[in-house]
Amino acid sequence: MRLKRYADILIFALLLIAYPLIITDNYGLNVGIFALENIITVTGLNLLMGYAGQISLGHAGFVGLGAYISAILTATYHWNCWLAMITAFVLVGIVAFFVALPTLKLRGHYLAMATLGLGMILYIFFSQLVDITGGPSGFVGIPYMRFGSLTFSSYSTIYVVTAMITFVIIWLSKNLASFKAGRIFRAIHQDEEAVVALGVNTYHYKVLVFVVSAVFASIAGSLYAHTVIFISPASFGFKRSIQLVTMVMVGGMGNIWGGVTGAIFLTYLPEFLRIFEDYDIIVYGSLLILVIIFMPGGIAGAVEDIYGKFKNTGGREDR
Amino acid sequence: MGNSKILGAERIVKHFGGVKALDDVSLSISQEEVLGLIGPNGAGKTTLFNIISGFIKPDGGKVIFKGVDITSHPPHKIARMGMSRTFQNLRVFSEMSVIENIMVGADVLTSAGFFSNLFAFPSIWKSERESIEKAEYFLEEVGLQDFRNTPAGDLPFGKMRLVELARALVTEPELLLLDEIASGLNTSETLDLMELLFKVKEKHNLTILVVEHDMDFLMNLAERVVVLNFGRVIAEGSPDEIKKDPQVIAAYLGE
Repeated sequence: MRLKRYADILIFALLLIAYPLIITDNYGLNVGIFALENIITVTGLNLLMGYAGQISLGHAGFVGLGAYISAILTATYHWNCWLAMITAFVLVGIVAFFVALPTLKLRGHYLAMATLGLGMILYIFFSQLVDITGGPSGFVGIPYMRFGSLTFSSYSTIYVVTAMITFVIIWLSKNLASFKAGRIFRAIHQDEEAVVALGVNTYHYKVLVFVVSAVFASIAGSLYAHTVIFISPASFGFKRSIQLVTMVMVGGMGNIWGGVTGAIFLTYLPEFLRIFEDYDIIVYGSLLILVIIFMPGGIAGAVEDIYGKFKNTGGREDR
Repeated sequence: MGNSKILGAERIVKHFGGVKALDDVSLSISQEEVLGLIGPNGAGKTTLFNIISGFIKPDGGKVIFKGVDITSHPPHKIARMGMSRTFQNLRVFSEMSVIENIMVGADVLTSAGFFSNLFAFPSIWKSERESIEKAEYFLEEVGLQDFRNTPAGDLPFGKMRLVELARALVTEPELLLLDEIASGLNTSETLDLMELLFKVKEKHNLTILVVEHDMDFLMNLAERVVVLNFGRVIAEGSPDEIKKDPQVIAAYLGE
């Protein structure tokens, strides 16, 4: 049973290993790294949105917060990058906890509104605290990640580090989704009151999943900062938050691999659409509309339906 | 039958705006008793039910469960104390399989915490096995073993009711609250359900509070009946006494 449960994650590991062996040019590796960083954030967001049914419209803010804390601690204060990354996600976790505490007590769209506001507040901080963040023109001089005497400055080494962290994140998410917590998240999504009636403190679970998703976003942000070594507020605005939500929806809500697929698809899509030059945004938008119309369950949902038809069981059963 | 009181609602008052939904309502249930609560539409049955299970708070009065004043307890805490309920409108987790639905109820009693879940420590595997075993036991008890992996939302209506019942039973309640569990069922389903309820009651020494609109079902199931009308208790007694009570007849047949 255990082996079967982990078959998908083993395939994922193999794909992570295969990618840099097949695609060896810097451009391909760079896009691959961005895809992985998106996978980390989107997986957290999927646990929150797709599983537990809570919407965050400010997740780019958490990515940004992670990126800036890492950047400031390593560049300004010369901290070890790993210590900075851990400090960043602990701080982001605390921020998320205090945002979740009052808003998740209430039912409805309060979390969406609170996170929307938070994302904007963080964006303003990133651009206005010029002395600390470098303001709108950005933060320069972020060091690469290091481990002992190794410096991860080439795309291939950054890829390896990012892939390993992505794997751990996916493994943890898979664990969360597969057992008790995942079932309770999904049940809360469908009928919170019924879960309460069974004796579950749903508030506790909602706060928990929100903090987890924010922490994942922070880790992705830290990795991003050490990849591009230059960050600016524009990367962490509202538009980015919406992109992240779109990745979850296009990939498939409530399915870890759906989110992963969505993150990969929407990271590569703009790259392929470059051939359309100025019209790329129109093609991008049209593709999104088509996916939403024809695949309401996202890419993962569509795949499951097709698979289900083959097995003649109706699909989407054994999530 | 035990004589000790398991639940007492004392002088419950609840207003919704200017409407008095419950006006000084008291009732008590003894251990292993089946108490029926009936009344015409809008009599306040579901409101009382929601107050007992903690989903809404009364404006006045107290609810005592197993000797503890639970009036201000949050509903999940009350459920943990051994009170489980079903809902009037079906509330299965429709996109989850039948076994998963029941497992959510079983999960509540397993000990593995968040970090063992996150890191897949051995304790979560143990909890998982416990949940599956328990859920399968109740799956069989309500007779849904053939629908183990079917999404609950794809089941026929009557079977969804059974999912809800199994999910409530798996939390090991002492007091089971059934809110119009027979509504929408056909005659044979209602009879099967009644038989099942008698069986599980005996097996698990349950105390049952059943709210029902359908008189026949309730009269057969309940040992004692409380009648509500316009937020007040108008009669209380054995089913036979209630059937003859002129006030009850008036409430149901009269204006």
